[in-house]
Amino acid sequence: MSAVSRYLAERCARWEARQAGWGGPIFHGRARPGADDLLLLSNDYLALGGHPHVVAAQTDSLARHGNGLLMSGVYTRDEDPAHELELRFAALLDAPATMLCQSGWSANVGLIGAIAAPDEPVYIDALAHGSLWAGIEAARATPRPFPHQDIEYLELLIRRHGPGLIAVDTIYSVTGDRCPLAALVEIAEQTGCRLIADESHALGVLGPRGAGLAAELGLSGHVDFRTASLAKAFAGRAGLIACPRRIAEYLPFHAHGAVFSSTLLPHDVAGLAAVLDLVVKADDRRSRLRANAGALRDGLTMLGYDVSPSSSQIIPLQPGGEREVARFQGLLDAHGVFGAAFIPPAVAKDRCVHRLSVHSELGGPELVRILDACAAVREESGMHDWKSTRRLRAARPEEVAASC
Amino acid sequence: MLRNSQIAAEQGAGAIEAIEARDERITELVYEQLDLEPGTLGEQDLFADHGADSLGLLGVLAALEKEFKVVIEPAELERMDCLAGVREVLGEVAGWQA
Repeated sequence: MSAVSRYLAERCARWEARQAGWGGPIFHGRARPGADDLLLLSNDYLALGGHPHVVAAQTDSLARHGNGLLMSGVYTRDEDPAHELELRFAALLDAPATMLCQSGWSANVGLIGAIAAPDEPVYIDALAHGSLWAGIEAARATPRPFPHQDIEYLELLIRRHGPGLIAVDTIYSVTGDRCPLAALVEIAEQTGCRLIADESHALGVLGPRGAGLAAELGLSGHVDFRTASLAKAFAGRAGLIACPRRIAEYLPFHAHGAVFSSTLLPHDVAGLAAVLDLVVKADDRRSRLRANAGALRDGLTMLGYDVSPSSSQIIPLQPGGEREVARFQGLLDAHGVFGAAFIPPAVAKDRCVHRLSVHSELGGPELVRILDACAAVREESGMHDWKSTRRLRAARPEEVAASC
Repeated sequence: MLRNSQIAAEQGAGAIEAIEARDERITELVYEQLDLEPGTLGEQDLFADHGADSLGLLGVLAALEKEFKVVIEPAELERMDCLAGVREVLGEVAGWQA
């Protein structure tokens, strides 16, 4: 056996052993949700993916254009139907320009790969999305990680290594907390760094007309680059980069994901345009989403679950180990509440999370069902012994004692 | 490592108290960053055996650098795999008398 095939065989064997150690399925073989079950797996936070306006726009586009021109956007640039949508996103984000990409991953990897110099320091929050890390690798830049939200240490690192890029998420995809964007902007401006803020979980959800956290804080003009996956509140299959116009002209020919992948399909673009019609007018949905997320976070905390540091629609229940996550998920599934397990490489070892993603159209009875299910599985899941529960007990002893 | 009696003779009892306080602070920071119950780590116990991961170790490194105003190269994390290792690396980069 060659060294390459031995390496692969060992990796596969390790993966199989790891799955066997879960004591139950996390992904394949999991119970199928029934019609009445509650799905909290999706990132469709405003529940727009199946909206009639969106479905009609996509089916109409498919009927008229099929799958369009299957080629890189390098060739189709001028007549690409995505161009008009890019202008509309630029208007929403109050950005000089935007560029659509095939995914949020493609946006971050393509952007950093095209703008960071080899060996340039990239100061990155330790919990930033994997695509930002992959972008650093693609650019052969130097990652300079700082502990999650540790602004003091970030400043220390920049003083030590000099100006570079700072890369953060505006809402973190596993922990659900917001970055301190105003402080980051200030640091970037004082130190001559450029700031990349991934707005994937904030776009559509926060800010005026859903323009994101930077817009909510009046900082749109102060963040050098904003990126997003449009597979969250925009319920589609694409990514986005908001940047200076000159960079937007450069990226399609230098971001490798854009150069070497086919451009978005017409019905993807049509669907996103239809979602955008709805998102800008969706203050009612945003308001319900905030209320639902707040009620669920409070209710879970009262039950003794540590959902910190979340302040958003992303609610992390934190069993810790893979085996504990598998067990917890199986128990919640049996109660008809389906969340999403996050295990390595999505999170660090022993920081496994069962994530509940809230959406705007959950009603009071559904929230009660979720809380009832979470209450019912506490003993059997061993929740009282999770490290996260102990942390909550230490921080808020009276509240937790009352719940047990 | 100098014995406490030698340090006392050379620098006075105050120096011992300062060193003890510093050692105590190092221990506190490690427990805090690795999210461990106080008193669960022996000096030679490997952090990895107590569930420490790269995020926790990055937190230890950052906390020590901020607290003691030192620079620790990330490569030193390999040696900082237990409390004794942390004290050794920190002593070297801070230039503390051994």
